[in-house]
Amino acid sequence: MNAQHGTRPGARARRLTALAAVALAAALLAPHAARAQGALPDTALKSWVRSMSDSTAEYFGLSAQPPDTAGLDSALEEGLAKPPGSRNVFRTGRRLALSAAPIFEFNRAVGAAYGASGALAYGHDLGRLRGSLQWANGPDDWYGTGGYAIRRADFDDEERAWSFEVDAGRRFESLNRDHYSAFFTFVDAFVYGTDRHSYLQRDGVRTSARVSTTGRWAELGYRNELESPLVTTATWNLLGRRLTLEPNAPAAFGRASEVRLAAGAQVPRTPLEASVTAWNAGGALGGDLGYHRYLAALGGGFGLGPHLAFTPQVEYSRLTGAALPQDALYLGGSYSLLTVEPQSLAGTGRAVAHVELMTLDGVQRLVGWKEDSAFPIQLGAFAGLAARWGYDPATGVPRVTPRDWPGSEQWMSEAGVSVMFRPGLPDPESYLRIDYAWPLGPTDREAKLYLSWKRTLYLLGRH
Amino acid sequence: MRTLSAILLAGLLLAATSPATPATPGPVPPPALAVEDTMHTEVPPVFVNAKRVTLDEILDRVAAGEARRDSLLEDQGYQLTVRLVGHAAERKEPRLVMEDVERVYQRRPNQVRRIPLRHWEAKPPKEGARANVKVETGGTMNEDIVNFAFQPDARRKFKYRIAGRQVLGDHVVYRLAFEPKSVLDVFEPSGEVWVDTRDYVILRQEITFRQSPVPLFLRGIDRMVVERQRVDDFWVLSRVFARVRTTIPLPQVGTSLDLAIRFDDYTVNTGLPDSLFVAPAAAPAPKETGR
Repeated sequence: MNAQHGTRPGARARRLTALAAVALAAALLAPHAARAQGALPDTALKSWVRSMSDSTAEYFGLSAQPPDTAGLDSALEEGLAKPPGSRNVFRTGRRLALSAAPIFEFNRAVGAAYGASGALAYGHDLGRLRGSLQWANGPDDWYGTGGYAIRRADFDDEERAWSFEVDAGRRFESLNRDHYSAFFTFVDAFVYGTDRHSYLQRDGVRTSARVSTTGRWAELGYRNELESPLVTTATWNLLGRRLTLEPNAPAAFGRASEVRLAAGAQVPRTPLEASVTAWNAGGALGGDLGYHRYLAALGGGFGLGPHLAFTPQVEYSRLTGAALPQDALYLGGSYSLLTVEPQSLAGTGRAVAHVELMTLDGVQRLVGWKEDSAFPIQLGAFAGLAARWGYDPATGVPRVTPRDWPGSEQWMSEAGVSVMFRPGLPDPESYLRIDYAWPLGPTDREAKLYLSWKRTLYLLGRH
Repeated sequence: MRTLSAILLAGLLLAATSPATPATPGPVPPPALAVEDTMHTEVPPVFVNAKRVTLDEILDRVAAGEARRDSLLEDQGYQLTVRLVGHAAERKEPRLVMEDVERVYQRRPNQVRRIPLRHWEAKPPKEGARANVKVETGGTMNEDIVNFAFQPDARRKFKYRIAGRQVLGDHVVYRLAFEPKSVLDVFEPSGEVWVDTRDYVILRQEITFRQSPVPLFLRGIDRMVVERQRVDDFWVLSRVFARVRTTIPLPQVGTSLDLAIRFDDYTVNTGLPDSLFVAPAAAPAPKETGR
């Protein structure tokens, strides 16, 4: 028995040698095996991830602590016992929502217009019905529209979206179709009597559809509206001043059946953005008014070091067909040249160039006074160049011309400095600006101090 | 015999101290390398002429790596914790204001079920006056909060640079910095991501905003961090933190708050049952017999 189970020296030595060889092989191959399985490298990666995570947890303290797990299992069990669709299942929160707001508008054509607007929505995904109704004491008439609007955006990317809207009714609008600042125009008209816009009435329906994705958008619109002139009915203002412009320039009467196509995109590999818009009316579209209107704009913000931005922008627009006052291209004011009276020049061609050098940070941060202020005041210096052409030299009203570019004598220029504040509301990109501009070259224009509310790249407005 | 025993002992010792040893609990320290400091020599530099991966190629691979990660996810479940902490960076002690815990199940193409597990508030509001922080999760499992700046479309909006590289085991991790092309884009953040070049997936992201989007109310976002963790073969969201400072003190919160979102207890591609998402069909009504 002993002989059977005993260990003979030769066999024992062989077994030990084999074991030693296996151990050695294991020792030598271990790192390679580990590498093959990813254990060593993954350990290094894991420990790096852990160290980064630890430093984050240290910074965020209480916020980074794991939740107390007591009671969670039983809550889950209870939740799972209920069928999907019961109250414990997440839903998009579809419910009826009603909103309403009062409206008060004032201009010399309709006087004071009192009313209200409202909207009715059922959840976010079914769109909303909207409407407004105003009574204007000037013409003693009612204005109002009703319509439907829907917007759907990608859950993960708000910029991937489409929208559709349709509205019908009667409204009063400015003859200047390109730029209109509702708040400042209201203050000019109601308080000081310095509003230089003229107005018309539009009755009919308008609709548009828009698609957008990151850095690109396109819009298709159609309107069929009867356009009619308005006359001045209110010559008063709060300060009792004489009106800067009393007559309301009359619009041409007629039905406009118009298609609008607009698109915009970022220029690849640059911070520039371009937009084009075309309006076409008459011809096969029907209606009484026939015109073609085009507008193209390009602009962008270039960083100059950590504290400065350079923002060039240009716009070119052209009107052909019938040169009607409600489709003319206006020049002057905060959207072109500050030293030219707002809306004082009109034509069938317009070119505008504007460059600005502005601080990116508030002055408070630049001088080291306050790192983050609630009122970051930015500074800027700008220069502008603009021209309009295609007008009757005697009356200044727009006139059809085959010329696509202004003569050298038609260019006007100015320079100026700005103090700006961007509150972030209601439009996150708009600035409240105080600009001081003076004309360049021989001219009878005068230097002006101007208060306005606009985006830095205001020529790229989405028409 | 003595020699054999010595070899055996040496072998076992080597095997025992090898980094592959699974018996050692906790983190394994990296291998220690001896430093020879008695002998100095210089070798001429070796110039490597191999083609280096360009930034554009890296960006293409990151976009592809993230898309591949997304496409391989069929379903997932996780515990979602949303936490709001007030007085986060003030002299006062930070204070938990609100905590929401939910179990979330998601399945392709866009099915989602959320089961609330706990809702806690330091001061529950009166009925009808509730103003919650709610994190919405759609049915898709794309993690745009991590890769928004590295999707193909985003190349139009951001500019990129390689901020650093580091070797971790046999992983090469690139640190890529991005910032908006236009300096006027106040809503687009700048930031850095760490990318594992083994599968070109983002491991971590730090985000900064040059300017406050709404300076009147929001003083700034001091720091925002997005972390991922590895679950099986996938890198998935782990934690999202943001520290926000306001210009005016808010009730319970003060002038600084932390928003923390935490993702725990993942299950990935386990084949979640239909019953999680679809209510059982109602029993069919008995047919009229005509009598």
